[in-house]
Amino acid sequence: MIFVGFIYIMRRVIIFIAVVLSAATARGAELAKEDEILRELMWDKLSQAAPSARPSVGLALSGGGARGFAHAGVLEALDYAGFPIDKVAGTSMGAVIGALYSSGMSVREILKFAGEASALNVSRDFGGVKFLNLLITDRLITPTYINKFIESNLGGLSIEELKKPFACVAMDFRTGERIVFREGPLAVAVRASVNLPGIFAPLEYRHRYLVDGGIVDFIPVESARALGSDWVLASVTAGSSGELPGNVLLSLLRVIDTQGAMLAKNGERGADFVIRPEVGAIRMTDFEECAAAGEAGLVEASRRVDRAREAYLLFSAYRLLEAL
Amino acid sequence: MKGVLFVLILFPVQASAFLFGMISEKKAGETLSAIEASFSAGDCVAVAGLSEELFREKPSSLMRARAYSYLGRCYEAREMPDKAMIIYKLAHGLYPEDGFFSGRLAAIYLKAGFPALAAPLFEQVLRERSDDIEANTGLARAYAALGFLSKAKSYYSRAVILGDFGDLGLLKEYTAQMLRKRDWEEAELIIGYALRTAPKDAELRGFQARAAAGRGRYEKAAAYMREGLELAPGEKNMALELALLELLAGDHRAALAVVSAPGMENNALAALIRGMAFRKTGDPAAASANLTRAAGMKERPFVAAFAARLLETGGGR
Repeated sequence: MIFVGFIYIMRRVIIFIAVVLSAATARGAELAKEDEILRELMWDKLSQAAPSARPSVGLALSGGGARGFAHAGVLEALDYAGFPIDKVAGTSMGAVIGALYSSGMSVREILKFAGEASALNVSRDFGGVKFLNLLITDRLITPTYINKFIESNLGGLSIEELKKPFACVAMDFRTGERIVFREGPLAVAVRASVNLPGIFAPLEYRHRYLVDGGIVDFIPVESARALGSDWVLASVTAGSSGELPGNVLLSLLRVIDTQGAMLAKNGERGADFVIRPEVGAIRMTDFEECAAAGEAGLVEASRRVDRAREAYLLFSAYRLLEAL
Repeated sequence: MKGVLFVLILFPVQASAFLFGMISEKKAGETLSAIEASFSAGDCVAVAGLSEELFREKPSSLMRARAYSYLGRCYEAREMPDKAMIIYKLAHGLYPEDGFFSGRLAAIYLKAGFPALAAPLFEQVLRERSDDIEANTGLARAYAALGFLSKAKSYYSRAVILGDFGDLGLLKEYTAQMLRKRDWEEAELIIGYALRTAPKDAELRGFQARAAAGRGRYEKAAAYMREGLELAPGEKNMALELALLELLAGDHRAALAVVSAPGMENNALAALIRGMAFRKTGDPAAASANLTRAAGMKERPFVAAFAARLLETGGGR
């Protein structure tokens, strides 16, 4: 009899808990709806505003080799959300993607490059590197296919001509100085920014010997600010796969990668919002994985885009109110 | 002895007895019928018991697959997705070409929040049957969950066409995703189809308002929202959305009127809208009081943070 009574009470307790939990969930959804109404409607207003009527948005794209194609996916998610992007700064692969985007190329076209990366033969620039050759000839190689890709898509353009203000970062190999390109021939600037040291010969330009900017400024938040951005969103593709590098080239790349990841930790602190696509398993030279990197960028940016919009809305709150 | 063996070899025996085990096709068929009957009766315990019996006897591949399908569906019907998932995973491994198992496994993955696992399975189903509505819908949902909105659009489009635009819930879901993609044209097109099915649906008016606001037509958006509120007078969120649209359209007094109605006193978003409207109508004291109130209601983190930010930056003055 006591046992039956106990069961009866327990049943009531369970039903009560279920009702309370269900009511709490419904209340949570109701409250989230109010946040959603404010975000969506204010976002429409903010994204439609003329650039002069809202804080300017800078996009800082990190280096990362093939992983950097994740930036294309990030751009796609920002595009869906109607995120205004006024200025772009990039390092290494971030400079390539950023330059294509700033030139007016659509995100769809940039993503198409990711899908075709294998056919573009970019990996061959790395595949052709033989340690013995480097020792015997005592000469670094020229990244033929990378240069060809940059020339065919960005050749003939100057940074000043781009549709969006753009900057990219390289390093002077002799002095270790960070060199920020904000004007001049675009192809030269991008080639310098993506020019891996120790493998590819430094690019000689205006008495400077330029190599990949990822060594000194993996995530160019500061450069985005220098372009006049009030609010900076950073896309960071740092990280490395857990496997041990199998040869000299991969070891060198791993060192550059690790250095980049350390710089990213400091660099991204200056950003107002950071998106980090999960591309750690993709190596810098896995150009066959560019499409996968792009998808990873899209997935992560889609997951975070509402928070990014809220962050920018909060930053713009006063100006939004003024514009009403 | 040799003669006896020779006669035994010549003795006719069903091939399946050698190939698949000891059970005869007839007996297996009877067990399967019993499984089917138990499934129809909703007796999952019996389905599981009979299936085990059937599997012990090593039946034909076809019968085994059918038993797995009953067992999986049984667990699904009893809302035991973890058990159904185990069955479908096993069956999918054994019969990778069978679209039924891929489709069911995909649906469970999607429901459990694993769209990346669901998408390739739905794709597999669609390679076999491109007109499968459930798989088209599932793939659209998986892509939407992952953020692949352009791909999602293609499959939502196929699903609603295959369903002859008759599924109102799916049309609304499709519209919501197109609003998320800021594809106003497609959203308006789908709303048009949905309105043929449900001309008096308040939620559809809300969608129309969102699409109009997305294009910057706030007065039109407010008009749609008013129509929606007439259809669903007690809908508080629609009232809040109307107030915000009035504010964005520049009609601050209309916004104030909506959020000053009874029932809005303790609402954070209503307080924020009041705060902004009072600020625009030149009443800084009321603006500040309302923004302070909204900023204190932390249950709506974004509304509270927005109000706090306005106070910090002088929006309350």
